[in-house]
Amino acid sequence: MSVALCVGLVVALGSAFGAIVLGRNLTRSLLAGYVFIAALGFTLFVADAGFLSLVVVILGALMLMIIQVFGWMLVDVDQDHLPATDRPTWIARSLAFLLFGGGLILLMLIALLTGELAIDGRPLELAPPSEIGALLFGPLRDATILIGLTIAAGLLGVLRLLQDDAQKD
Amino acid sequence: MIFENSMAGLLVIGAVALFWIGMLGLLWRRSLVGMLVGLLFAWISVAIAAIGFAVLQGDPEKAAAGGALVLCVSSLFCLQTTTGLAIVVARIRRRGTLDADDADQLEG
Repeated sequence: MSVALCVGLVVALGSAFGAIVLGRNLTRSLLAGYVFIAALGFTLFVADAGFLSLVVVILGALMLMIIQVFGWMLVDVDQDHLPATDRPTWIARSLAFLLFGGGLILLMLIALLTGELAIDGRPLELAPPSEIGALLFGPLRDATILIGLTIAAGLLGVLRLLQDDAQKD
Repeated sequence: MIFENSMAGLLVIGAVALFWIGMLGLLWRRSLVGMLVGLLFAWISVAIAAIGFAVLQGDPEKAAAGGALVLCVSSLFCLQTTTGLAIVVARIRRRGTLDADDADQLEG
């Protein structure tokens, strides 16, 4: 496991997160986006991805430039001047994001727990989908049902919050 | 076994995290331009996952298939961004706002 690859990946992900969080200021958001593209290019270069890393970096930078040109024509550079999101909608969107992220993390954790986690050059293996399915509907069946019910309750809560918001409008 | 080296595993995990961040942009940003940036991250995450899954495995056939997938994905996210920006421009000229919450009635 290359340290340079880990550092590049962390910087790329941090920059991408910054680009989203700083989204109300288009200039800062796009600057973070360029840092993301540079860090991603470095990461893929370290990973020996070859010319495909160049393709991703060049096209990604090109798209950011197009968004920058159009964005600067469309919105104020300093702030997008949209009204603040009301609280129920903000909560509903946060819940939806957390549920989606929780599902992704759950899948990755199950994949890693059923395989081997690599450290310092040892192989990192993820379990094939059939093994994950056998695990979820075998020994972990009760936990899976519980998590499924929790996610369903969360989604219903999100729908309920959005419904209240629509009635208020 | 899906991964034979840790670099590929790290790239795929990074791609999943990046897709999550892209979804954050789609869910939290109300500006249509900000949502396009989030969508761009989601597309790039697919390209990174393809590189992690196929290109770094060492198998020439998988590498060729993964490379083709990355090229297709890259072309698609170019098309998606330009089409999305065209829709945003048309939307602003008609309605005068970037607010995505204002575009929920299909009224043009």
